[in-house]
Amino acid sequence: MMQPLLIAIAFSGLSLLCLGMERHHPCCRTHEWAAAWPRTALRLAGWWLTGSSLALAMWMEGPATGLLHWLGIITAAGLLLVLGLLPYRAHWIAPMVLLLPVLGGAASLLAGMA
Amino acid sequence: MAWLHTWTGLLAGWLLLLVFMAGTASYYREEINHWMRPELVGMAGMPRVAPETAITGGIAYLQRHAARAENWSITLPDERNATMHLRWRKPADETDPSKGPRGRFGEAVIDPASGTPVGMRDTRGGEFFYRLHFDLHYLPVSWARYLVGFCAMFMLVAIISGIITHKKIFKDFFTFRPGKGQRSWLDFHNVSAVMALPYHLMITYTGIVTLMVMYFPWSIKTAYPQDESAFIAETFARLPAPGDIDGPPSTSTPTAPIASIIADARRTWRGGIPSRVVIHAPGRADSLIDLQRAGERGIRAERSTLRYRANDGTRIAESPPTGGATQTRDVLVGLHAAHFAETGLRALFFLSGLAGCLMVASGSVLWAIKERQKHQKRERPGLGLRLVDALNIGTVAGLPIAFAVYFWANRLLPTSMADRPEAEIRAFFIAWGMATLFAFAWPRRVTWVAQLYAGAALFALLPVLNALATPHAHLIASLRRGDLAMAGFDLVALLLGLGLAITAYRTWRWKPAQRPQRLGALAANGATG
Repeated sequence: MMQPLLIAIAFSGLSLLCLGMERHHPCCRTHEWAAAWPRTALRLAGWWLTGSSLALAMWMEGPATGLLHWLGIITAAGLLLVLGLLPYRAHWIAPMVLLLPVLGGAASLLAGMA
Repeated sequence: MAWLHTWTGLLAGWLLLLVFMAGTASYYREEINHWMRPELVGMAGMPRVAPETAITGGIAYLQRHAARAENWSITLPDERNATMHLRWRKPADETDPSKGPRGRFGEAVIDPASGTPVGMRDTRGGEFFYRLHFDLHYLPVSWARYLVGFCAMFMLVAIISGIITHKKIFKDFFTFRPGKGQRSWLDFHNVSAVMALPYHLMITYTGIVTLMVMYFPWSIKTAYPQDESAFIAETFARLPAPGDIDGPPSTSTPTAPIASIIADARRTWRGGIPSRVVIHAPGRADSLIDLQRAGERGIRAERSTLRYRANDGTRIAESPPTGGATQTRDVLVGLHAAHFAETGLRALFFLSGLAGCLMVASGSVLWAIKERQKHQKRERPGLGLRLVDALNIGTVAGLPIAFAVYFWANRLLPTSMADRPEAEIRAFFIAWGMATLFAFAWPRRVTWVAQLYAGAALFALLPVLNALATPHAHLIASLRRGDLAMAGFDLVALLLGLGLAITAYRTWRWKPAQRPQRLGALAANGATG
């Protein structure tokens, strides 16, 4: 059961790509680690996580279904980020980037053991 | 290029919204069937029956109730559907012409374990939405499919021209600025399009492919002047329809060799099982049996079929191997129908479909908002704007009402009612028609709000209706039973109702942007009052 981890990594990757943009970088102000990172570093980390989530999805379900699954997850994560968090709860984004992969990893581990 | 995007989108928009909404609902066709047949809740958890038992039971039922039929078709249960569906083509003297093409067929739903019919309310269930999204129900089938096909082409043009005219697709990738009037609507339209862009392109293009043999009928007529079904069989690697079967009436039942036929099919398919069985001319000695293979867990929508002689069980034909073009087409059609999608992926397809509905709806609303701003300078709104406003309210706010009313009719119409499925469908169209009439009579913001709230209430109260009308199927009971289809339907209805209520609330609270010269007057009013 790697699904929770996959969703979390994809969301964090997409969010980092967003935070790394000039227009959205001010969202980082309230969080030390995010404010300290240069925008290029945020973007690189974003690409790395987004790419990893694609690789993970393809490894889990094969290239074709994995790609479809990944595209769907990116759509869901993007809609949550752009329509829900950015305009109304922008200060949640930076903590969620860190928290979600931890929670997702824990959920995957628990599901794997059960 | 912007005009192309505007006009292709606007002209096809309202019909596309219907197609998108009904198509999105079709991802959960089986689950909607399940919710609309609450009498069957007990069957969902039953163990799967071996195909041999199920088919034998189906044939026995058909022999008792449709012995004179021209053919029988048995659809076997699968993971998402516990019942077995029987369908037969009635002989010419038994057809009911008042029912149109559907009067030629008889139908029954039976329990695959016992072979007895299951007692349940008569409904078209989710099949209605599935058919609606390309047959449009009241129109002749071929006209409807041409119309939907052309709208899909308009959609493809609108998507591609939209990508080209969207100048800052990457810079604005994460941009949504609410509360800023036209700006916000454009942002929202862009986000709903861009975030699910691969899906929108895929579903539109593959939708066009599903109807592809209709667009240029003349070349097919030229190459296959006698028989169009031969073209279909050759193109899609299917077995050709059997010729005339007019042998003497059969004395033995075709049940005898069915076990050996299924055993042979399992061997040929290396363990694969049939999903559908068609028996041609069941009452005759030279009757034929077709076994269609259940889909593998892959994207490709293939239909490999074996054909047997019913009297001795010998295999006489099988569908030809598929070539590259057919395989490509099968992948595209498979992507569109998404039968391969497991729970998680199916939910993501559904979400992307909802994004498509929002994209089409916000595009039509955006046109009206832009047009209104032109008119504010000239004061008098034109007939065109009034028409678009009315159609927007009638479809964007009216269609959710119609969808919900269809489900309400399912629980409220008496189960003994004659021609009940058609009555449910009529309720859908009456609700939609009334919403549209109301919108034409009064295309104002208050109508938007009233209809959005009506849709919200109708959807959000569906779980309550379900609990009151069918007490054994309420949300808590379904969750406790682990009946995720029934519980999921209730929860999704609740969420859709909530979404519509938020939209209604925000539409009501919205205030037009103040024009600078009036701000002074307003401040003066505030000071004195």
